Amino acid sequence: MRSHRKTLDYAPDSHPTVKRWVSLFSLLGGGIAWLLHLLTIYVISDFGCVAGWGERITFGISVVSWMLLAATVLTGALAAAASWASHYVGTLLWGTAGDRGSVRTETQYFVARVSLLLNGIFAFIILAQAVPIFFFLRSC
Amino acid sequence: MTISPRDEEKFSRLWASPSGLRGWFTPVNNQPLAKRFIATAFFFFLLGGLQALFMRVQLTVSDNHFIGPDLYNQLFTMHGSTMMYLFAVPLLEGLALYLIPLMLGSRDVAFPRLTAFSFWTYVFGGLLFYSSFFTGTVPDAGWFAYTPLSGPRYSGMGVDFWLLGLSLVEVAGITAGIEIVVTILKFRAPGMSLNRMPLFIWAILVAGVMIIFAFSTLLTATVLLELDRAFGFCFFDPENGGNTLLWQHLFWFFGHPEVYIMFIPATGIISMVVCAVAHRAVVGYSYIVAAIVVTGFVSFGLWMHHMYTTGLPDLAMGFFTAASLMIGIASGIQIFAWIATLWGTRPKMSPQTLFVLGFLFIFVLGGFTGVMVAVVPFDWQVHDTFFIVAHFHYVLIGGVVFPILAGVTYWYPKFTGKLLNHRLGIWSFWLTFVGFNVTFFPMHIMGFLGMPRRVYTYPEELGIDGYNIVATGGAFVMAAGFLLFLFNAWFSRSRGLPAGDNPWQAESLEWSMSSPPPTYSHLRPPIVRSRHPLWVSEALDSRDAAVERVRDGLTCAPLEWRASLVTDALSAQPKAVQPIPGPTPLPFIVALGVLIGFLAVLTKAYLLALPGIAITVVGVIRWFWPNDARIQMIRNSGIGEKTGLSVLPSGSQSTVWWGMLCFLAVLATAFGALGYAYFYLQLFSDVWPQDHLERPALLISGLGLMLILAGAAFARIALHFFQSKRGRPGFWLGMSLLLGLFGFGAYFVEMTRLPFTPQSNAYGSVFWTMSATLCVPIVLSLCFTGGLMRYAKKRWNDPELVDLPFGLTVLLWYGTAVAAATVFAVLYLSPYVI
Repeated sequence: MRSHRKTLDYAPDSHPTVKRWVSLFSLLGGGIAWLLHLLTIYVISDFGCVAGWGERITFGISVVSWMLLAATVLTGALAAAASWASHYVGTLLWGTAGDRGSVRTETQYFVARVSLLLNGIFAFIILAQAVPIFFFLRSC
Repeated sequence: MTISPRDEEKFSRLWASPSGLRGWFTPVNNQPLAKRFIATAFFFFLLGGLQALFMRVQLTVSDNHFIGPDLYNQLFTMHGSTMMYLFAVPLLEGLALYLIPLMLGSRDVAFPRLTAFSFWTYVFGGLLFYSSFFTGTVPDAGWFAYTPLSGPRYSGMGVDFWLLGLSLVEVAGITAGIEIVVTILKFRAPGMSLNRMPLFIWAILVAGVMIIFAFSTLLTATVLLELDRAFGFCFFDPENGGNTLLWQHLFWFFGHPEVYIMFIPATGIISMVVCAVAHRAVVGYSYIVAAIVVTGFVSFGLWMHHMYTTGLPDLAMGFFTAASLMIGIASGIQIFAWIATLWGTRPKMSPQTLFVLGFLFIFVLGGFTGVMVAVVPFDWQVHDTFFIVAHFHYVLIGGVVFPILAGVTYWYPKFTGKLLNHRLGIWSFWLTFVGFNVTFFPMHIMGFLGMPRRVYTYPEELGIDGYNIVATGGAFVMAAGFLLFLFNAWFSRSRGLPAGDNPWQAESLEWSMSSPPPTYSHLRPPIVRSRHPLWVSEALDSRDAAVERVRDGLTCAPLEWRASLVTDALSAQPKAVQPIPGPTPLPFIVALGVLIGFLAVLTKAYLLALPGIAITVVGVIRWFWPNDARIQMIRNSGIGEKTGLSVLPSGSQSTVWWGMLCFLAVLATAFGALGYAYFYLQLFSDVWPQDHLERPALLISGLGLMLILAGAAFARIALHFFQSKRGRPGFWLGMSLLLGLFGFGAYFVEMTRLPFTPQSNAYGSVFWTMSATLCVPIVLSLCFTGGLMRYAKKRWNDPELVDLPFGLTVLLWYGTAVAAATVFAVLYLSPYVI
């Protein structure tokens, strides 16, 4: 059986403090990026195709495709930034999590690790959802 | 710490549920209510299974007329609806409500009266649903009730039974979801930080959040369809600017997450059982948590893959294909984690182990066919054939029912104190497993050969009689397996071997207490210092003096009122002691009031709604109004001094504050669904507003918005003065009330000036419905503010009493302000912009 941490210390310890917005961004950034990406591409493809933007070609590809690619780049960057933030939080807490740290630090470290996984998966899904764009560069 | 037998007996009496007739209607403890949930769900499971057998008999041979087309339509509608709405989700909620306090180390759930209300609305919804058999108006439009088939033109009263019965069940689901989420966030034992929560609790937490959003969407959709049917609204009526596909979008925005609302708790069960049978920690705890959260998130982005044949743009279908394939990553992580956990171990082939292995086999096959139908060209080929029937039964029976049976087998000793009969358990597994595969595997081939689903018979020329005969035989074998399982549960209750406290040598907290557990769950609040508290020595000890003080203060105490410990949502640090209500008939009465209101709509006897509304309103006020005598008793009990914690928690330390937050999430989802409906209708309309109506004027509505925003701001100012103990919060609250009333009045005037009605066209329907929905938070804010002023009038000098209702009122005002701004932006501003 693997070893288990046994801390139960709620006293504040000396771990480096992480700003609240960084913690929140590292936790939710990837999910929000994915949500924004899905909503944006759904709205652009539905509205854009109905409005005829799929047939308007600019620099070789349709306006709809340009907008979809832009949405993918922006939300992908957001997810990547969230991944970096969760990695940063995890690294910052690494030294104090574990037997020497308080329950709070240990939990924050766990949340940072899970967030890194979540943000990574969301970034990957955003990229995967962008693949169909390349099959419809000049049409809907 | 020693506990005197006298105190223990008194404590036990305090937490006991009433007996006799009162015991039927007044208990609020999680354990008896959860057992009722589970028993009722299994009862509906039997009914749904019986309907399935009738359908299978009908389909055994070609051109069969054992059942006519009408009855067949009714049977597949009732079967699907029963299994999806009345069996799987309520059963999992029941299981969760029973286990959560035991696993978390709390004494009950956060809102015991809400649990009772949830149970009664569930029962009333189910009864209303099935009462259609007695009136000869059984729903027949499928468990999805697609429009226009379910609209007023093509369907009779059966769909009203479906919509109204279902709405009650949705209310039950949402309230149970809120219950689950708040309990998990606030009622964990000291030390049970997020990283030490059992995986079942993680799964239930994610499913609870999903229920809040998904069920609220369905509730909104069912209300819209009922408005079309009962009052001539035009949401789904193409002749008046409506759109039949709007229903499919709203329905599947619920329907797809619904599958995962059932599947995710099932994975939580599997994680617990795998851990116990392998007797080792589940591999990749963090990965499984991430997979559960991703599944919950992404499941809301897949709804369109149920609509590939409805004429969507190819590009949009491409996105949803990609998203549908991606969710396989999350499922794959869990499957591999369980296999890795079992790898190299020699688990005993007990019934629960077999159900887990059966789950892995069947669910993986269902997952493969899921990947196949996520691909558009393949889906086009097999859509509405028996291939789809085979696919979703592999997912739902394999992915949900098998884990449920594994879970019931695993926790049965805890429920009853007895072990299930081993031999009967093994037999029931093999009958179910073999019967299931014999029934559903041939359906893949039948689908390829062109057998359509939802059709009562098929021609002999298709050449699929042989497959159907085999499938029907398998269905009876599977039914025998399920019946044997239920018989085993009944038989072992009296004849089973004594189980002891922890027959599986499992690791989570529920196994630390007697089987069956006492109604108060934990006499002494436990401490958790490990993810596997029963496997790690000293894991239940504490060296923290403050935590020990809390434990001592709450050991077999208080003796006069029910209470549970409130902890921090992140790290489970003790924060407060939450008083918990005792037995009361209020939940039953309020649920009855709601039922009467629904019956009035069903029978179109709208006067009948008045007593229903009156009962509901009076009941809710009585429910929420603080009881001064009880508050004094709580204050004088000395628990606050003994534990060093507040016994009247407020703000984010109070469970009620979190409950309000969840309620606002429900409202936000309703507005989101209505906003989606608005823009969707606009997208497919040649002119907007439809019928060349004038764009809505901004003056009075803008004034209304300003007044509502000012009302919210004044409520916030009042709270600021209250917290800083200066100024006159009562005055500012009065201003807030006045401004809110004027704002409400402005909206009322605006509505009377509108040149269209909800029946004019779809634009009118969505405009009126969204405006009317806005009245809900406005009226609630005004009632809360008025009530707070009345309550606080003689209590301003006792801030502890006023703090909680004040915080709730301001939170509600925030929600109202956001809702008013959203409605203004969508209904009034957007026509000028888009």
